[in-house]
Amino acid sequence: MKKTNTIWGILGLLLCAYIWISSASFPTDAVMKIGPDFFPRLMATGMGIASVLLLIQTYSTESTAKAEAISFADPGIQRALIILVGAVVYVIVMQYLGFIPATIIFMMFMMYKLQFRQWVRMLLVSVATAAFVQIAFQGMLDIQLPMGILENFL
Amino acid sequence: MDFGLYLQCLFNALHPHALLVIFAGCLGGILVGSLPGLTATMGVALLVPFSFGMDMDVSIGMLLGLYCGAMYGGSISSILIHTPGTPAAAATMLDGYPLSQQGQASRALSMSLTASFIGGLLGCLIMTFLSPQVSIFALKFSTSEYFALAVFGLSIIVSISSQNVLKGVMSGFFGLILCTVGSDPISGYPRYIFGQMELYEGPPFIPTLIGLFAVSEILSGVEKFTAGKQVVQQVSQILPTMADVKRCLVTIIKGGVIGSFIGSIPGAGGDIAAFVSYGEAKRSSKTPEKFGTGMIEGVAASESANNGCTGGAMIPLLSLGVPGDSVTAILLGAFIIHGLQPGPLLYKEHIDIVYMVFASMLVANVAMFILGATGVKFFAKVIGIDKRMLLPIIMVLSLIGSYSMRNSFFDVFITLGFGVVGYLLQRFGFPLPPILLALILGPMAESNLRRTLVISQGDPSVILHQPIAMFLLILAVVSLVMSYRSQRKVAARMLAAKKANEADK
Repeated sequence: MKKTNTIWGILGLLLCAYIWISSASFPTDAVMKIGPDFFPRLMATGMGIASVLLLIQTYSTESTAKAEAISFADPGIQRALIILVGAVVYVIVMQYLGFIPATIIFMMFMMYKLQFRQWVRMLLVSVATAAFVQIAFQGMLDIQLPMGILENFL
Repeated sequence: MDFGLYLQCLFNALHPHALLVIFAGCLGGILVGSLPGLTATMGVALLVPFSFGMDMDVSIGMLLGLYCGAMYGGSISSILIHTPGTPAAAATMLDGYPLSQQGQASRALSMSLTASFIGGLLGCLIMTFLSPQVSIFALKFSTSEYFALAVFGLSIIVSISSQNVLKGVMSGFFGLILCTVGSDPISGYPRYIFGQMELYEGPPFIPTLIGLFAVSEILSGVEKFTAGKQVVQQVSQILPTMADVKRCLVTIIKGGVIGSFIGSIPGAGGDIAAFVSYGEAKRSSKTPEKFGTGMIEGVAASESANNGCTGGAMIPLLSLGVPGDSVTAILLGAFIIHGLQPGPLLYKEHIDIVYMVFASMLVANVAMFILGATGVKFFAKVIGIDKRMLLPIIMVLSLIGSYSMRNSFFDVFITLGFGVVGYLLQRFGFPLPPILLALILGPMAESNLRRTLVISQGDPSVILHQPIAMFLLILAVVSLVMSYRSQRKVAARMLAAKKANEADK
């Protein structure tokens, strides 16, 4: 726990320093002397104090809690990372391929990564979800979803 | 109280279209609540985009239905599989699961439904009659009091939502820094937008919270996922016996009232309400030692309180514009999206909307009871749904929900980014509710503080001369100091226990 708390404490201090330095360029009210930098700096100071206190607490008390470090060798972390990358690709591809095909492919990919191997059920769930969202958002709520390659067919 | 207008709103809420939407919201709420890992906050966040295309009064009904439904739904998995569907149902598990192990799952579920219904109705009534009074009082508030109220709300949620108070404080400050992104509320100067005009109005609220509360949970679910189906007990009884109702009636009423009042404290939610009510039921019982072994009063106390809390949490939302808990924070966002700013002026300018909230809440509680009674067997089966199908569905709904806000892919990437942030923060013990509340209360705190300083010509001590503001600020400091001290005591006790264990070995 000591190592992770130290990292978070330092990250908090870095954020505080960044806010203080970057807000120096904000314009100041000539009369009030309080400008757009006032609140961010106030909050950054609070963050800085809390970070220092966290570091002091981490090194002054004996902790019973165990650290839950993130290890890239952990299959669970790998799975979460692959799904995250898959989601980013899904969002990019959706703009060209369209919502329905991209969703079907992404959902089948995600289910496959979650060790689901019943192909018919995978396809049915993916198609049903894509159809439901398309009907609910576009048909009922009038929210335009990217059509992509299906633009001329639907 | 204008009863004529109230009846008119009740009549509107019973219109087939509005009624259908309330039932749909409630059904969605019970489903979301009963599935472990899907919280009421996540459910409301996912449902808000669906409300864009609807009229304000109809969409309120749907969101309130979901809120009430999810509070009850959480108890189903608490009782049947020893996993609370929502944090508010954690106290229900203490006696609900032992009852289930004794083969009395149906008895516990039927009591949970009845207690939720009566607790919810009590909360609704207290909200209807109390919130207008609070709003009259709040009309006297100036900018100093609003600033102090925002600080108080944040301090409470930091105190109660984290095992490590300092991490809760850091989460709160992170949220407050986050809401300084975008235009300055006084001068309009753009801050930290890095040339992205999409950020000019601040981080988009719904995509941010879908990321924090839905995508982070999906990533966590994917990481900790284990294949295999959940075995769930059969459910038969749908209503409690008269003997059980008689036995628990006082506990239920007490729970409903406790829940409503705890819910009305800005920041305190259903989980706290349920545990306080459970503690009170245990304290006043003739057989407190039997609590935790399958006492039906334990289920009644916690369920009536967490549903009572739904009405209570609406009091500060409507009358002060300050959310009572995480779910009402999102409801506040939904109100703002529809062009309404909750607060004392809402009672003057849009009293019809306020009464519509009262009426919809009443109908939502009845809908929850009807759906709970008729569908409990179905909901019990839903818990066994394969997560390998569920997680991809929620991921798609999350991403499309955030896209639909402004038809913007930028917002979808914001959602994914906050999903990662939320996942990391939660994993390392930083609570997320303070960030959500800070996103709501931050702009309120900043604009009111700045206005106060403009009026006082830069003298901050003016806040300390306002008795109500001073009182709220003292309460904020006291709550933080007390929770820090209690955290240190718990840590010392755990350390002593660990050393004693090592000595034994």
